[in-house]
Amino acid sequence: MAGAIQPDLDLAASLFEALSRATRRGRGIVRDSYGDGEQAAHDITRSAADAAGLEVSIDPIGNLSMTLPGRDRSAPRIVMGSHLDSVPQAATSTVRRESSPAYPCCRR
Amino acid sequence: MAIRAEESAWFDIAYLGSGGAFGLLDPACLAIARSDNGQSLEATLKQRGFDPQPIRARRRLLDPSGIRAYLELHIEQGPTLVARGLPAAVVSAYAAASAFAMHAASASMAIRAPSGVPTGATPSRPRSPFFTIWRASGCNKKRPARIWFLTSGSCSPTRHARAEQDRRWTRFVLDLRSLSDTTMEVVAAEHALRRSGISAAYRVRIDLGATSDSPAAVMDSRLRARLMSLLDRPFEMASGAGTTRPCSPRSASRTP
Repeated sequence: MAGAIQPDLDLAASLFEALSRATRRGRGIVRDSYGDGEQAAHDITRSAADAAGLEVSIDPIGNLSMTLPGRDRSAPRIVMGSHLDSVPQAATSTVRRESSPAYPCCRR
Repeated sequence: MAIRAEESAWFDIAYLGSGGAFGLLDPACLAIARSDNGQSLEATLKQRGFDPQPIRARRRLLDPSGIRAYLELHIEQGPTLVARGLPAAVVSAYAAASAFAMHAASASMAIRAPSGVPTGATPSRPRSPFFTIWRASGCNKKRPARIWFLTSGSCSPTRHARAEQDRRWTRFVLDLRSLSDTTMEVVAAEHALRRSGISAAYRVRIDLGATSDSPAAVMDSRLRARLMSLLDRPFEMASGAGTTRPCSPRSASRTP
């Protein structure tokens, strides 16, 4: 990407490793909606947000918001997000990069 | 934002978490059962300590007027990026999706998936009459080329509401994706035609259940252009089953 913002690949790798440990079932990933798999992913994500000092909230149906406050709290927000559940036995591929352990990517 | 339950393989509800956040879900969805354990969405929410009441009341949990922009992070295209050595790309569109959940039964033969074919995989050697649907309607290379994908999956014995002693019912799911709503309509019509033909040819009864449909969503062209301009190596691809691949000029020209 252009500009000064750089991805935290170590954080990404540690998240993928934790997700894999918690939700791999045999050859695939199982993060069932509102089941143990999805909950594990939410717990891992929330822990990372807490460690990063983000404001964390959960709405009544379980959506998890992790907020980096701006200077003007009344201004409209920029939201980035994704779902954390997977199809049953979601396929994975292993990604390797220099000076880092392998971590799996989920693929539909 | 980590959104709940957007994979409709478990609860057959499109965009459950985000739709619920915006109060857009039909409250009737609370009665929909999870595909593997049969537990209703309402019971599942309560079991997890969540509250089904906002869905029942169609109450917004998130106010769109308080959101300036939303960027969806996609990981499904990751392997393509890794293969090309790219740090990021733009997802140009979500493919439209239709899931046909059928129950089929034959008095004379067991209906089964080819051995060794995992759920969601494309069988290379169709053996049962139902994979003939896939072969006949989807992957004939002589047909006019259009970008669409049909995935067979969940071909498994099941208990069916209309079960009879002499018939072994099989639940069979086809998942159709395309970037073109026109193509979706054409293929769905052909699917219905082939289904009746196969039913007659193989003396198999097919009960077509409710279909789950979501339209194609193509990102605004100005946003696409803006995002592409931010990439050192501009690259974009569509999302959705087999459409998780680059949008090359050649493939784009094949879209009806």
